[in-house]
Amino acid sequence: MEIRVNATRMELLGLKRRLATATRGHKLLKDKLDELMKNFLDLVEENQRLRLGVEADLARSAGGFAMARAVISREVLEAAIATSRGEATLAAGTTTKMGVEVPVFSLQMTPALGNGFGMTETSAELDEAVELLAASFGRMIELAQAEKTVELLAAEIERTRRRVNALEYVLIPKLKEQIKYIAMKLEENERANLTRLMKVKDIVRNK
Amino acid sequence: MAEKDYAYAVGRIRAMENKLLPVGFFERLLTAPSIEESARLLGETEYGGRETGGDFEDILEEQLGQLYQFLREQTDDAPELLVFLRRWDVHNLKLLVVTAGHGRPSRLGIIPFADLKKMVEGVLPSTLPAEINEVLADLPERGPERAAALDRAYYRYGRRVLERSSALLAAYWRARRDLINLQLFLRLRKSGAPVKEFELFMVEPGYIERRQWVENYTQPLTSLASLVNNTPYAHLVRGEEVFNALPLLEREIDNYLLDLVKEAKYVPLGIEPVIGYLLAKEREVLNLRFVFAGKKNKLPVETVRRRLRNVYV
Repeated sequence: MEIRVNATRMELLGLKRRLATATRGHKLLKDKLDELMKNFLDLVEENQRLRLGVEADLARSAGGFAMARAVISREVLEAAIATSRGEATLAAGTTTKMGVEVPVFSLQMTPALGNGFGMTETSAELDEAVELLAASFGRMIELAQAEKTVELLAAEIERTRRRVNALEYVLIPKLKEQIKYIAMKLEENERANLTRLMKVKDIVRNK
Repeated sequence: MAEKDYAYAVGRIRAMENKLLPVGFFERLLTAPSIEESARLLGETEYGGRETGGDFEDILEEQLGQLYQFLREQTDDAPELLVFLRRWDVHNLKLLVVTAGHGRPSRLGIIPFADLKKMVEGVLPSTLPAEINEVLADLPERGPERAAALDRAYYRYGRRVLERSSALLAAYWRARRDLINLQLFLRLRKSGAPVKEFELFMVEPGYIERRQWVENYTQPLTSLASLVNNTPYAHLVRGEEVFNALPLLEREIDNYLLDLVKEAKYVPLGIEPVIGYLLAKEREVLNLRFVFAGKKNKLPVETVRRRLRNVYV
């Protein structure tokens, strides 16, 4: 590899300073990566738990809706759902986790106290299915938050790993190489100077 | 209309009652290995031979439509029969005045949806019962109040017609009103709704007065037992566990109401057997919907079996 660098003491000092910084940065990034990985694995487990819970809730709710659908006609079911009096407010914000900006959702739900289409045509089956769905809605939002956090952390891990690798396998070896090159060059210059002085001294003595 | 006028209709009904699906048939449908097999079994009955693209909902709705048409022809639009069929008109009316016409209108109504719309707009003269016309003339401001007012008017109308014509149907209607109020009482309490919501949705009371329902709404649930104690359906409310199993209570209520109307089988001539058959057929359709909805959604057999209602035969 061709090294293009001025073989001066000043350059050597500068490179040594850069090497120290790069080594320190590498260590910090490596620590960050380890911590990110630890958090990431915890989050993945949490995400998995939430997903299984939401899937089970949705399956139960779908079963409930199927039964509600049997008790009441599709016309009534559609009208009852279309005139639901329940309200939901979703507030979205962000927070920082391991230096990564991740979303935070907050869900406020007002339960539907009877639908706007009257209650004589609907049934308790529908109430229970809606209740199950409403309960799973909160967990779905939690799951969305966890999944987005996992996605953002994964991207950050990838970015950090690339930086660590760049430092470890490119920058630090290159700096070391340059330092070694300059050190050798300076030593060589010193040796050349010494030889020159000895030769001058020899010529002067022979005169 | 005098009782003898229904003699032919009752004769036809007696013959048709024999074709109602027996309880064992639902078990066969339920335990069939696939929905296709269940559909094949159903195809061997009265429900077979229809071109509906394989959708069981369409088959069942078509069956109900044909039944309604048949009963109307046989009874020459008996007012008692119309009480039971008008609920689809009330549904369509609600679509018009609550959701401004959005939603799927029912095809089972007596009055076509387009005509009903013109009646609401005042373009056509109304052929609706007086109780419903009163509500339409002075509609409440908000949707839920409008829907509740129409429901109340419908049950008032039924009461007026049935109390004038048949003791059995009047008793059935009274029990139905009370049991609707009981379900509303439990459903709204469970959802934590305030008493004014219950007052809004309550229908015309039966044995239990409106005041009693309202007073008990805020009391501990144990007071419910004393409330229904002096009614024929006291046995339906057994302690607080009923609160946690409302779908099962609904099944018990449906079974109780069908048992009530089963008395119609012993009425030799009159509108009662016609109404009994109508309700029996609707119950049969409900059970078929349970079975096919369960099969379609791959629900456990026991989940569906727990919900199946008793049959008329």
